[in-house]
Amino acid sequence: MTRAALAASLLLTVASSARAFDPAVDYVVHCQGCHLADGRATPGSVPALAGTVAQLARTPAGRDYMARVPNVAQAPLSDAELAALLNWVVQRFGGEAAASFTPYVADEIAKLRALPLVDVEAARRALLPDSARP
Amino acid sequence: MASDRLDRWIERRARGLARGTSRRGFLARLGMFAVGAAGLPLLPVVRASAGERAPAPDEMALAGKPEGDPKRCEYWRHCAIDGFLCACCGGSQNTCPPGTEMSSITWIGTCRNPADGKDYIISYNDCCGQSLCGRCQCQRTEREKPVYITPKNNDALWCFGTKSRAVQCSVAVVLGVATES
Repeated sequence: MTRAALAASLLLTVASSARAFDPAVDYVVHCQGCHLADGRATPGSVPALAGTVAQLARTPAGRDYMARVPNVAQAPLSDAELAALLNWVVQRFGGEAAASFTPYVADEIAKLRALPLVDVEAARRALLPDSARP
Repeated sequence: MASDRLDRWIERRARGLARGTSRRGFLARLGMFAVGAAGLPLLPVVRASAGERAPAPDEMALAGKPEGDPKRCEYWRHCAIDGFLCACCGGSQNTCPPGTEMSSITWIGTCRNPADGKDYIISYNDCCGQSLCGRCQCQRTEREKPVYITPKNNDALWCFGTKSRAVQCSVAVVLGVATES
């Protein structure tokens, strides 16, 4: 009886944690706190999304970088949810690059987020040489 | 000589005090204090600080009403707050006290409103530029992550991009309803 109750409560926990939100809601919950609603930079603290996502979305290396940035890769979201969120970010902040962008898929996110990005600043400088340090 | 002066000064002060105070007034104030002290353990704030407990009757009565008391830690918007409540510090649940600046960078969580059962996205912005408020400290940790997941840890001070890094208190602003996909 106790075991059955435990199993039932575990199932309930798994079921309740599997609830998925809209990508726009996931952006607010997981990104907007620092990147703000309009993706602008906070000098000295947070780099801009507006303007830089467009540059990153144009190249394969930039595409990989976006999914491997530590706070993206480690977000408490499934691979499919993270793919949907990143696709939303590219559409929202990618400007003209958004139209030709091939959407991320869950398998790709799974592979990318498993590769730790050790030197984030060096990777960013290589991809965005013109962008000022945050 | 000096002790004479001191003696006269103390006598003058004592006589002045005796003339200027009413004994009955003192008794009335003492009585009020005694009754007030006896009533203190009944106040909800004392019961609230007694740790884990069943929902208070006023929280159950929230159903059908959009808001509770933003000066209480149990208020529904405070499900993941860590700080002093601005509503107790000269501001409100949405606004910073005068003389402080609201941080734009913020800790974000979701809380369920018992009035309608919906999940709302809540932004816990710090109010920066004055020293710690010290009133209504509230620490709740729903969906908080360990400190090595910095964006989801609410122990951090969130005064980024503000003129001052000094934090006074925290607000709990509703950003919207968390709609499921």
